[in-house]
Amino acid sequence: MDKVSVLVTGKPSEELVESLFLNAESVLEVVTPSPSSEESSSLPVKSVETGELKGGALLNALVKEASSDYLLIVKPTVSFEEEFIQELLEEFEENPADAVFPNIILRSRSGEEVKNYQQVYGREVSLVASLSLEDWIPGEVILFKKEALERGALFDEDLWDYEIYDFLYRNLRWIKLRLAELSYATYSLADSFIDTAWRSYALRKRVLKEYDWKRELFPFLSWDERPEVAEATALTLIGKRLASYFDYLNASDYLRRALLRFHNQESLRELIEVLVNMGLFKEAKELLSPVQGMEDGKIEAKKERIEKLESLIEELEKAVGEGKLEEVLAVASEVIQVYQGAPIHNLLGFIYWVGERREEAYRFFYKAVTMNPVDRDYLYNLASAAKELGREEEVEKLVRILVGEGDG
Amino acid sequence: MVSPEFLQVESYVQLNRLFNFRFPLPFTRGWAASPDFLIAAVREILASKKKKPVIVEAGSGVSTVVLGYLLEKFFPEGLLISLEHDYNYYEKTKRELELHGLKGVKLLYAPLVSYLIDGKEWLWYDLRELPPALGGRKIDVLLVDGPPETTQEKARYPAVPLLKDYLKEDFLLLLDDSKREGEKRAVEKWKREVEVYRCEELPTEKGTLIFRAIPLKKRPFFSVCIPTYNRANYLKEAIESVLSQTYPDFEVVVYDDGSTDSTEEVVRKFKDERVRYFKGEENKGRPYARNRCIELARGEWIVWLDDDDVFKPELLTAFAVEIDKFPEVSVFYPLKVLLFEESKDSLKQVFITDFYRNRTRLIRCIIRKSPISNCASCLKREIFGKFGGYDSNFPRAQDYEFWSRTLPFLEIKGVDVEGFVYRVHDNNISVNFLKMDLSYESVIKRKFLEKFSLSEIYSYGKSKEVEFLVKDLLLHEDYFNALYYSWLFEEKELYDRLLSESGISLKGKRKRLEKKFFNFLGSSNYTSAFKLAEKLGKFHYYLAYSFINKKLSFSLLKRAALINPLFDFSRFIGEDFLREINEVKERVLSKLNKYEEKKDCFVNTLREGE
Repeated sequence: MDKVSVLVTGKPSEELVESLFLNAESVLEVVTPSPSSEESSSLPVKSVETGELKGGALLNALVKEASSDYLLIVKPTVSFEEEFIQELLEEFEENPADAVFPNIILRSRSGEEVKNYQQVYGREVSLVASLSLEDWIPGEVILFKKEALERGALFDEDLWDYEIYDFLYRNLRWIKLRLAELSYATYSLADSFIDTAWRSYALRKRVLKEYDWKRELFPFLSWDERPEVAEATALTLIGKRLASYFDYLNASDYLRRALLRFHNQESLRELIEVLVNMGLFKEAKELLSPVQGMEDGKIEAKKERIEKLESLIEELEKAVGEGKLEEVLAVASEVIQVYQGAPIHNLLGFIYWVGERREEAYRFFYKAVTMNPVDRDYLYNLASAAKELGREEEVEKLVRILVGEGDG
Repeated sequence: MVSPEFLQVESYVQLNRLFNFRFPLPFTRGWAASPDFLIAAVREILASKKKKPVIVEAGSGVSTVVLGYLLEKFFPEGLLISLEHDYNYYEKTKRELELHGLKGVKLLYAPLVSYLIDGKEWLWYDLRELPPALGGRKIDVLLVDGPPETTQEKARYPAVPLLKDYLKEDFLLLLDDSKREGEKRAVEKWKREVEVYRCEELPTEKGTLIFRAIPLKKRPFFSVCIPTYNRANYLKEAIESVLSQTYPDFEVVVYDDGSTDSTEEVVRKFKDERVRYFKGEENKGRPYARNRCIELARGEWIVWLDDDDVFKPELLTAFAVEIDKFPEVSVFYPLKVLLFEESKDSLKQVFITDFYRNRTRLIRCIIRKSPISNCASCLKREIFGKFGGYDSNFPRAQDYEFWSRTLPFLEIKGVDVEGFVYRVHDNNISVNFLKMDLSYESVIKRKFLEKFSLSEIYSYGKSKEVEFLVKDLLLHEDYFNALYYSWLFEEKELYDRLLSESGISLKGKRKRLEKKFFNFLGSSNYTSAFKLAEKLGKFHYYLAYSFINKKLSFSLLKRAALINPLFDFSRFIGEDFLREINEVKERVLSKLNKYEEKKDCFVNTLREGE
């Protein structure tokens, strides 16, 4: 019977350890970054010295040390039941595949939620058109054939996150992915913070550069009949996807290009929303004009909403300046239900920072900069917090992937 | 699509071929009759097989010439009388007849004069010259192409009431311009006066109506039965639709099965003595209400009407005609039904198969579903004496049960008429498929197998009879019995597929997944259980769904019990509901025919498999 090397990218949770015990017959070894907390002798543990490695570089280090031909890459808070690994391995016996993945039960504070994935086997390359591989494949647990990883040139060591999807994006033209339809792993969401900037980066750096827009990314558009409409639609779809990753800066760029190619209300509406989320209220209002083809009634309604948001943010900032932190915190927590733009994240970061909740503050600042990396105040706040927490490299990297690198 | 011009040319060529006109015809179309109407009229008169037809024409012109030729060639002993109110036209037609050498036509100048019909003044042709022209003979064919519509509203209506005494009892009426609103309204009035007729509309340029009076050997008396319960809002319309029938010999029996709304008030407002209202003290269910209707009915024929549906006005006329024509038939039903979806405000036509002298097809259809609609079916009352009434064990699908028990032993006939409007609304018990307890259908189908063997039912495909039976059972989601029959006949592949689809008994990975499924249900995480149910089977789907959809919860549990009657539901529901669930299980598990003797053995096999 085949056995797998289990690659855990951090300290395994107790549940994962228990899951591995339950599947001991299918586990050749557990490969983790050192120091490993696993003391039991019943599971062979291989600790790998990975130092400060992250993301792709960390995974590559683990892959190199793994002995099995099958590598189960799992997040530390994943758990599963008896025979789970066996079930995944059986998929390889039944179908020639390069990687097998299960469905996921997502466990969070609000309870458990089942996510059933769809069978993608045989139509892998079409997944690229979704521009969101994470909706189709679970990155939390996936069983690779080692040879497939090697054939695909392993993980991009430049990526600190999203490296598995980046690998898949890179190799979708040949890789065979199979869903084990009846298998489920539970993923405990220990931390709701996702650094979505890496998703945007992989999309821009990898997908948009390496795939043919007409044939592979947007084959459903009428490129021959109405090339300008097709291109504007493609650019808008990319803009929307980037906006869903909170990369509003790059999203705005794509949306502007869409408008220049073929002026349309859909791209315009999206661009205005993106600018509002970046906190660029003035720029957003400038687009509200009959010259842009908008109806007067709509202009007024949108203008009113933006002005309300703008004055609300100004008032909150003023109140913070006056030291009314608790009041602002209460109001901001409600405001964020209807407006999740950069200014409100920056504001919350500031309040938490003053309240000595540095880690939370850092995340709010980080999100604000993700949303608008060219705003000096947001950058200053994040840089100051990073300096104090010793995380300057993260900030440098964030700004570089959002502003410096990408699709060119 | 064929162009209108082509049809006119084709018709004209046919007329010319048929009669070989001796002189060019005057221009057709426009004010004059069109060739397509003329050829249609000629066809109908020829097809009526009268040897010496007497034709009266209201309004002369090119039609007079064509009919003149018709008589000359085919009916030398026939008679054509043409009435013309306009003297100039009278002169023109007279000249045309001379040019064509048609001497036998009696053209009468009959200016429009006043008549009193039902207290109203009507203008129509002066008929004083008609009786001597007829010479004691009666009219076989009445061709109505005048007077002009500008004369008055429904200008052509007086033709029937004024000529009533001169018309044969099986007269044929041909109406030109039947597309016009005035003519349509005139036809509606004729229908009420003639009562028993056949009516057909041809899509000619201006519309041609063929209206034939049907003399009956005996006029049937209908009891239109409406069992009702708390449907006051719809009932009024239902009763009105019966009272608007063109055929008058009927009674309406409304049996109120203990309504608590304003049903009684609604019915009492009808002052028509043909409406008879009876009220039961308590609600006893549909089969009881139907049987009471039959007891109370005085007619020889019972016609069912659901309390939320409406009859089309000519339904009883159509039945009366067919009853006369097919004395061996004891169940008639309309072949066309209109489906009215309230939420969409849409109307669409649905067709029903005619099973007349086609028992093979009928028994094939019965095993699948109710072959005909109960609403608007017309049954000879004596059937109930012979076969009994509706079975009280079937609070729903009692009509399907009745049909399955009786139709194969009767002659039945579909009637080519748009019978009724079936209303689809939220409150309609047969609308929401999920609400239905389909275990009744299971019983009906399996009982039917006691009367007819598989080889009789599926006589055309013996090698596939189990496969067909399974499909028929699955139409009403009877997975358990479908599984049983595939097991009994050792259809391994089918059995495995059904086992997998239904989720009745799981093994391996799916068994482990089922454990998770029940854990989710146990922890009230119904959404997650529902997601897992996708991978497990229909049984799990309905079970999980019953926790999500509170409104349909009990119905969905019943559906789960239909699919897997071996499952113990007591852990999920209380005693009150459990009784009904157990009744569903009993119905599914019962042994109802000779094929089901091994059911216990099958159940044991499944239980051992678990």
